Amino acid sequence: MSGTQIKLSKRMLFTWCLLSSLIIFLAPQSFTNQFQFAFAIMFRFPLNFGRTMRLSVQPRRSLEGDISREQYIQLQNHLANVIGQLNQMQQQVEKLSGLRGKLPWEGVGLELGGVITTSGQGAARELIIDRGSNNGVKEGHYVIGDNSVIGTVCEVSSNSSRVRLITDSASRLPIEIGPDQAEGLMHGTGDGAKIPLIPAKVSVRAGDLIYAARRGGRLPSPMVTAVVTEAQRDQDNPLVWDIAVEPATDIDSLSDVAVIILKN
Amino acid sequence: MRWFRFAVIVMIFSVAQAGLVDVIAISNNAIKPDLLLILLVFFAIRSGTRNAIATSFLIGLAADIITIGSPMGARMISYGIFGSCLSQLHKVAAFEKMPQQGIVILIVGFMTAGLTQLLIMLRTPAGSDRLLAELIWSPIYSAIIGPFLFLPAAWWMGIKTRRMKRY
Repeated sequence: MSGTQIKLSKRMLFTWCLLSSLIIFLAPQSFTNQFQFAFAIMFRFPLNFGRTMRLSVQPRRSLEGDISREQYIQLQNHLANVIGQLNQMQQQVEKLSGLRGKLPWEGVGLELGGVITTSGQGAARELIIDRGSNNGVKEGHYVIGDNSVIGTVCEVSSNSSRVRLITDSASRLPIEIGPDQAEGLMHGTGDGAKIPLIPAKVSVRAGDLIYAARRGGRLPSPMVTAVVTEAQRDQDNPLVWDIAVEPATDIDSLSDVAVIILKN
Repeated sequence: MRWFRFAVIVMIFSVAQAGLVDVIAISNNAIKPDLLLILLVFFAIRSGTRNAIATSFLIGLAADIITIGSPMGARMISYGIFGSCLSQLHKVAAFEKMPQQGIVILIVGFMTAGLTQLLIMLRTPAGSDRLLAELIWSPIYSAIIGPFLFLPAAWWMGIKTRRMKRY
């Protein structure tokens, strides 16, 4: 008799646990993700420590010249951004023919934040940062690191946010490429990104910079985001390029990022 | 069952899995051991059936919480089901030797990873370039180091490592 009772209670325990699991599984992800954010905030120091340890044991790329790799990337991206802004200003001058233009980055706020940890399942590539809705961060805001666009905010809690990196398989970032500033859409592939459907008449070479396209309310001027690693004609359609790119900065080594917040 | 000690060990393993285990990851951070899978197998074969059921689901919940951005519940279901099945299997097999424990971790790892991926695809259909690493290499890595973690886990939980009484 008692054996039967124990067996029944085991079944009940299993059934209740399974039901609870199903409820959690079917609950809205925006709600259940709050627990994940809470974990990231609660254990940010050990998670940060682990990330720092991992970066310290990983072999670093060689240095360019006498400055550090980080400084080199920052300066290189800054130069590319200044050139991008200059181009936009020139276009404005031509367009408005004498009317005084507004500087692209006027009224733009940069919310500086720290990287708590990386996350990502499968081809997902994401960062968790310690800035959230309390700091004015919203979904869709661009995130920059080392003066280059590294991704966009895809989910926000009060004190933390999830940043979908440009290499994330779900990432689709409007970009400009080549001297003619041809427009395209950059797709993340997990390890890098690719840009399909760029006409073959556009001049593209390995080493060319890719700019995140200006977006009203999000990005005031084009900003460097990636570098072309390989450009060849598409095998199925020779009239378009098959372009492979990599981020303009070493995202894994970033400890600080900034969220672009347009104030008006 | 010492539930406070269980909570502490799950918390330690969860934080280690989320942040520290990347240090021993191989192949560009793609292949890393699943410490919570090891813990799941440990409790499934070292505790009674009822405790094993409860711990399996709780460890699955912890695995869901630390995988930020992934839909919650998938690991809780897969860990709970296969942990409970393993505890039933433990009635007829002891899994005392380290190679046996490694094989159990490997098989349970394959099954939980497969079911987890399937459930995740139901919620968020997205391709995975690391599917092979998650389905095959991570369970293999876990199976290699897992049996060595059984000893400190048994010491912390106060479980004797001699042959267990079957339930």
